[in-house]
Amino acid sequence: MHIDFQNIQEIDIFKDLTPEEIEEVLPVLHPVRVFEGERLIREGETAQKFFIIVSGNYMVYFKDGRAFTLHNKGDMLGWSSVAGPFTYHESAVALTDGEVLSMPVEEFLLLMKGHSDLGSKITKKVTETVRQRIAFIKGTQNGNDES
Amino acid sequence: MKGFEAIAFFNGWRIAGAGVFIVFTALVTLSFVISQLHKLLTVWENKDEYIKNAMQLFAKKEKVAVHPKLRVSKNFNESARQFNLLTKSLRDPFFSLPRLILLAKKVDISHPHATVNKLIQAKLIVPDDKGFYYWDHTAYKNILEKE
Repeated sequence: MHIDFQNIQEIDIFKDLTPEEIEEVLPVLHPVRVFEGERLIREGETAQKFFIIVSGNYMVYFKDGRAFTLHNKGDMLGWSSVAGPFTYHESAVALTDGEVLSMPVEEFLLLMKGHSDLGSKITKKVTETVRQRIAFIKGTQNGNDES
Repeated sequence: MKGFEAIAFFNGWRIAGAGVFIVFTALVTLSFVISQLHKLLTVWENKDEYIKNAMQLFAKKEKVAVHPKLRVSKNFNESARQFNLLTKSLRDPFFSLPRLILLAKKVDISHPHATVNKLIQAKLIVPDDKGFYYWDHTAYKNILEKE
């Protein structure tokens, strides 16, 4: 799978980045091919990376049986890795074959440290997702809004 | 008997040669191991990725093994029929999506994830805004009528 400028700029979380900032981000994005039924994250496990959807369809679900699905390029999985307590709050499985960008949290945090402007732009987008997901966890909003 | 004569008589030259050979062989082996050590360290540092890739290979093989006993028709309507029955067997009109997939797996329906995704896209399985899903009987009826 090839990740280039064009691909990255189409992803919502990176839309506001300058070409120089995208150059900085590219090395921490690892393209991963996923297959139908493959579990990407498991609730309760230490959150070490988060994923940005490039293609495919995914189900995020909780121990109580609730779930929502994600179908759009740029949707994020595993946000708990960037917002404490760094344990996944949900599980996620691929409903179809697809591609994601895996971002190890350590590399992400290092990037944030070195580039504060870039950090604040990405964090702003991540915070928005976290806000929506927390609302879903509390049962006040439909997570499928994102689908 | 003294000096070189004694050395030759007691196989001293051969023993010395064997010693040199053993030491040099050991040194060459050691230097080769050290020169390849970085590869081992790379594997260790990226062990998660390697494990994941290995598991993907495994998953692919499993898929190939499962393929011959496909039970679900490629026909979407047939899949819809099967999942309609499954949702009925869950009894509660508002069901858990991961539970439905688990049930589909148990009854040996192939590609349950992808099929559920298709049914969501076709709006036969609809989110209830609280993290659970219901079967849209009206949409299902329309599909059957078109048959």
